[in-house]
Amino acid sequence: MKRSDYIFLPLICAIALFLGWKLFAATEKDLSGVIIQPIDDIGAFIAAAEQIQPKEGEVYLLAQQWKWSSEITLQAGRDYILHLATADIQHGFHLPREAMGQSVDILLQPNKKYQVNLRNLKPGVYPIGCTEYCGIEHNKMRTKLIVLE
Amino acid sequence: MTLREEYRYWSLISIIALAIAGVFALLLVFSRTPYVQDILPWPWKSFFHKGLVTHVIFSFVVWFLATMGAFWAYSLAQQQGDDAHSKIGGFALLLAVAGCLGLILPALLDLGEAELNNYVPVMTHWLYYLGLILLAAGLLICAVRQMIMRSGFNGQKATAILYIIALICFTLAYSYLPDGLSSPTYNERLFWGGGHVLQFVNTALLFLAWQFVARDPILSPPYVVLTFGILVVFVLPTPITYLIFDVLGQVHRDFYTDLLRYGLLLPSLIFSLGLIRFLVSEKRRQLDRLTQQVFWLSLITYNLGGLYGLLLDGTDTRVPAHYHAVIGGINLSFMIFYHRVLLPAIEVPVREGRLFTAQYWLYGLGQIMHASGMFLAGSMGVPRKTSGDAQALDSLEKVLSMGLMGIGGIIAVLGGVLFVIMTLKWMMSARRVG
Repeated sequence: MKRSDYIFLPLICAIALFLGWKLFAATEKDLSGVIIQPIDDIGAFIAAAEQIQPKEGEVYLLAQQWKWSSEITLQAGRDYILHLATADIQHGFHLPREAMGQSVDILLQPNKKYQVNLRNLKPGVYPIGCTEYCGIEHNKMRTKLIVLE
Repeated sequence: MTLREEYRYWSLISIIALAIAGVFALLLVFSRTPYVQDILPWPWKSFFHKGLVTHVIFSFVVWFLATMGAFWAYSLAQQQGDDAHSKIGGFALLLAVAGCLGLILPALLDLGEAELNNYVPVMTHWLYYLGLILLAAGLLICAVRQMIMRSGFNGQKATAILYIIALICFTLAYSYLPDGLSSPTYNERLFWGGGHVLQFVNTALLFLAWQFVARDPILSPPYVVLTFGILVVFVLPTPITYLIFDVLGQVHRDFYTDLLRYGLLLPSLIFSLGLIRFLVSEKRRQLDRLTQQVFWLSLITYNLGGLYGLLLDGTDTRVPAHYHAVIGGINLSFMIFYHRVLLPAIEVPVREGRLFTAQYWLYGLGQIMHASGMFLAGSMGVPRKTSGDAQALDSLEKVLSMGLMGIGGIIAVLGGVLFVIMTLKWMMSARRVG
């Protein structure tokens, strides 16, 4: 072994340990700001998602093969609570980081509802996609979050 | 069966797998072409997705796994001699061939339904799953043989360990998944963990290909052991995740995404830096000019894919940009491995010329353009796996990016077709002469 190896080999081991710790720490990360509850009546959630004028500051979005219930239009600078659920099988809700400064990715499980706070929304049009394979037309499952000035 | 015959047959399976994938790509085009689709002897509507599954499974899974079989048999022959016999090697090949038949037939006979889940897309028919099991079992036999060889820890052994862990993950997923799940969720979760571990196998194969082609060591032994060791150490705890996390839950899903991010970064960096050092040193002079160029192409394409992987977010075209570039880099290393190592070893003459050189440049530059176009488009929000109006190409930048993607894709396909036609032709004609 060369003299430099006594520096590089331990350094590589130390970096590997650090990355391993990061991986372990990632399993501990909570879905901060996401409240998960069992859903008793999916019919009530569907009705809320279909309402033309939902409760002030509350937004509902329902996932099902292979569509989202609607587009979402919100005002920048205001806080909202986003309610999410799936009507059938597993889907993944994804909002890109440009919308709030950090991306949101939630695996939606059947029989559960999810509540997320939307804060510091920046004006723009953001794609919402499904990040969990949900069948042959999975790619068509797209909608938008429109944030107005 | 001698070890030389064994790695010749594994090579043949892997190249034929690409040829089958190419034929299915053509059938996919026919199945969407007016009038032509009516001539096809099977229902074209259901064939499209089934043909797509078969195309992906042969161009990605079978090609990679059969090349792994060729690597193992070749490295065994390096130790024991080309003419050494292996009874279980022939049996493993038989299983793999039977497995490939099981993977083709459902598409041709219109059996089951297609699921385009990640890593190992499937047809929901027992024949297809049996095909997967037989193919996996064939390679498992070779992996176990590699494990019990009397040698220290090396790249081949690391690849075998990684492959066995991937199979353990598939088995654990199968045993932990509850009954009554919908088909998309079931197949996605079944192949999620093991599929991610297979990407470690593919990375290890890339390093092995670079090592074999370079002849002179790219890294000194302690670094080789450490690099492959890191790959194994990151993957070793994966079976435990099935015991402690809900296999359907988000923590389990995200763990495997993070596993690629944290586990592949350092080994890729070490081997890439080692290869760069090799390519700028005097050692490179023992390699011909084309091989050096292919090394650079493979290095750049693979690392570009890695970089794109660090920058992706969500469901836009940055995701396929990442994996197309990574796979492109690995494919280039396999192509040169076949031409510079395996084909000469099985006494198949490699005829060099303009087309021979062109295949590498077309494939490499095409993949770089294809992936970069997708990355640029994805950065502007173009969604993945969409076409027509759904792409929302509402700016010149988006149109140009997707144009780059399309042109690059066509160029890369030309390079790939040249590789398959030339290599298969040489192998078949050498076989006839033999």
